[in-house]
Amino acid sequence: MKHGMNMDQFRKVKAQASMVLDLRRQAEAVLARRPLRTFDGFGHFLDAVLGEDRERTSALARTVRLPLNTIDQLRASELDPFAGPLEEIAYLGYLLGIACPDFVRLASTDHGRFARHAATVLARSGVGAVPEAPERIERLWTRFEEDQATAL
Amino acid sequence: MSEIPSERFPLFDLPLLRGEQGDESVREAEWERVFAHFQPRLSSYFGRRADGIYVLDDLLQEIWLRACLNVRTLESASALWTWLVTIGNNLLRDELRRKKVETVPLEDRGDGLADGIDEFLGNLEHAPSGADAELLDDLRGKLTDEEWEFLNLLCVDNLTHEEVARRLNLSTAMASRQRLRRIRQRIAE
Repeated sequence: MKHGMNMDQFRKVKAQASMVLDLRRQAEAVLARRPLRTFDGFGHFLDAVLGEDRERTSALARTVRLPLNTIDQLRASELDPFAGPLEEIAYLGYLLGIACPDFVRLASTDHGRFARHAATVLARSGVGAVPEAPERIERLWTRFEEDQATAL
Repeated sequence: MSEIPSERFPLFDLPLLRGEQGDESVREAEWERVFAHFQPRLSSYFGRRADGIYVLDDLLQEIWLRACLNVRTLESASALWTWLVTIGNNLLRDELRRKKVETVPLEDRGDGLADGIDEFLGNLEHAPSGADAELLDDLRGKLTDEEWEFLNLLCVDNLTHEEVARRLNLSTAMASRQRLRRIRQRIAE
């Protein structure tokens, strides 16, 4: 009888989850040394957590279904989180264990830089026209939390 | 590759699953026991429900991934089945939203617990030996003492409908099956 997924596949999934959980612990360690409010945006925080660990970063990228180069762009503050794939980027923040209001604040800091840049260089580009992003993130966060066993 | 044989009513060690005790190999072995026990049931449960919405293999992998990622929120190993089903139903609902597929509203399918209970009772009706014991705890508050005893004979004592009918002085095995259907119907209401 075909059960759709075998033990070898499960072991790969488990290993992927373990690497993401390692990164969550790494995020906790980073925040033990430095308060979240001192980070200049989500990209800055993400860069501090991921460091040079490409294997775990790849596992995180697969888990949130983002290309690795998108994560690289985020951590280099080269991508406005509100203009990117918001659900996947918010899931990054959720998996790293930060609270929704903290993620919104950090991502808003990144977004603010792009919005200011857009205002001076590309005033009518549409960049920055995402006032609903914080509300959308809150809804997404509620959905992420529905997968917790405490939501039963 | 050898699969771990599935036990009928296994007890799982929650601190091991949550990574709070044991070394890495012991924790991995406990997770593999959980997978071996629930994976065939999940595959069967979602095989039909995922049809046209999600590729079954992808759905099952995502369920297990999210379970591994969120396991520290699990407070009782007896809630494992209900939780896995809830994660799966959440994923199907997400996909339906994305695809805007016109299909049976999820409200009509019930939440994870309701689905799990219905599946549990459905399995009992057709094959008592194939049912889950975990959901008995979830059912307890919804049942009279008489119904509770009836389900325990079917599930925990593993009696057939014929044996239950004899034990409870029901006229026939059909009467036992009818009682089970009435319980299902009442819980559904």
